[in-house]
Amino acid sequence: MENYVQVTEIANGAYGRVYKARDLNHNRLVALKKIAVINDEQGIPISTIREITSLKSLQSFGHQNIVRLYDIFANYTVDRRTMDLTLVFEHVEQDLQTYIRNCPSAGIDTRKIKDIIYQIVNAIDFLHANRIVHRDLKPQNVLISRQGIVKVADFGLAKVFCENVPITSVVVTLWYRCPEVLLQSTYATPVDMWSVGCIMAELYLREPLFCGQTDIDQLQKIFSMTGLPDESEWPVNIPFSRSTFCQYTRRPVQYSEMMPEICQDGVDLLQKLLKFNPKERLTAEESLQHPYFQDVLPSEKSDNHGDVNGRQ
Amino acid sequence: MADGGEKSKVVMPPVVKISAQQLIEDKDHWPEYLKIGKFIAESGIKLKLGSVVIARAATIYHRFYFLCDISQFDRYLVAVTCLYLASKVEDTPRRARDVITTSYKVLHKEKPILKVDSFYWQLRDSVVNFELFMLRMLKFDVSSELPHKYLLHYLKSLQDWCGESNWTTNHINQLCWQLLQDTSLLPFILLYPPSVIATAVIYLAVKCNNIEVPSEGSTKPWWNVFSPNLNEEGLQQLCYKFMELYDT
Repeated sequence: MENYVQVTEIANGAYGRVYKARDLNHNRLVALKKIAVINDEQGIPISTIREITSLKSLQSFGHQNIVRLYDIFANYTVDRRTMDLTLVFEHVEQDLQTYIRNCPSAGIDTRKIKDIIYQIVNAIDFLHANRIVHRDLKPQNVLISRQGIVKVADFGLAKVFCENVPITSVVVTLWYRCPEVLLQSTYATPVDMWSVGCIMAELYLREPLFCGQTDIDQLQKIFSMTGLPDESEWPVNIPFSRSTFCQYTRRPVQYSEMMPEICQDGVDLLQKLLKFNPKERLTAEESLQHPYFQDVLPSEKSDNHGDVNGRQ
Repeated sequence: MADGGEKSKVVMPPVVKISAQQLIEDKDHWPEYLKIGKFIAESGIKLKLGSVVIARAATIYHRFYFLCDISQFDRYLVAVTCLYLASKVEDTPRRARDVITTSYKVLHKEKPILKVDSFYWQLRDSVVNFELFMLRMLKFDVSSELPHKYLLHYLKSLQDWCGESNWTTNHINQLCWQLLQDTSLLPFILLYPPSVIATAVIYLAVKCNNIEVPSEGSTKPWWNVFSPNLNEEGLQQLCYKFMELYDT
């Protein structure tokens, strides 16, 4: 720990604080993320161990769109009931939220938008291929370097967080959450693709697509835009009935009207990402093949699975 | 853990720190080292943990043993913690109480079953605290690849290649699985890639059964399909080491 000198607090998120620090051993900037983990009578929770170890083993692939995890420290707190875990990540200058906020009033160049989305989907494809669901993809944890390289952060930690104590009272954002999670139905990798859809729309709109305040409010915002799904598509065994939302008749919103700059392929991709039924939603792998990305430069496509270390 | 709560000071024999390579080369060190591996395996089986979990526990033990000065620790506490941690890493968790009482019985066969009293709570606190200590020392690097999945893939390919009957009449699959399990008692995994260990295990099983793997005009021997840089001499040397396990 003595090898890191804290510079500033970057964020005080829902589940912990993030500090910018200087790594004296390697003379580089790092982001220190501190999480409190319960250490109960069964020791460290199995979810924490499994998520952190898988995070660690992913690093050996060196995927360029995934933020680097350099190191991990663990310390007991005074009462020994919780443990402080410090994750040392590479420091990236900017996140996508700041990037969108600071963009010129004319908007973000559509080629740039495509490039960013492509890199995000590329990262998600890599995570899903390694059986990791991000679960909390949002502009705040999509980082973008000065060179325009997108790096997805905080993947796989969502579960570590939610099973442990939130140490601040900051509310977790619902805006990128998919219907099946909001409806408390079962969910899997498609949750991340919904978030990708929300982020894609946000890049064109320069403001979030669905800004709900509560779970129900969020669902209402979604259905008012996508229309209420058919009875046959409504999940079973969930605490919400379809009739709760029956005022939202099927009236698909024209994305092209909301976002004048989006191309026809973009509209098609967006529609396929924001499908209510997770089984119909495009997967990351399928999305990469979508015509929307056809004119992404081959050089940007080359590092598809980031297998730079040549694992056997 | 070794000799109950009454233990206060046991004079440890002077320990010469050796590397994993030295351990593998010098059989004199084996009996002492294998004792812990066998303890892990026996406790693991009694806890109904699968082969992979037991190999995982052994691998964590190897890593810790050569990372730290093991003479500073009670080896049985280290071993029990490895088992407990491995059960979590492999998503087949066992309760701390089951792990402790079961391994206690394995270690102290003559003693009655451990009761949940203050001594038990001491043991449990030791294991839980030591788990965190190990994770810190190993920097959470406890899910490195094991040879098991390589073995399954290689066996499947070879079985398709050689024809099933040849394979099943000689129980090659079971033999390989058992061989692999036994090799996990020594820290081969720290010295060789998991794919090489899996290949060597198959090589040994195939040789023991006099099975000829057809090459069908290919210039490459079969093992180079799995481990391109491996020569037969290297394979044989590794297999000799495997076989020495059975004379110990």
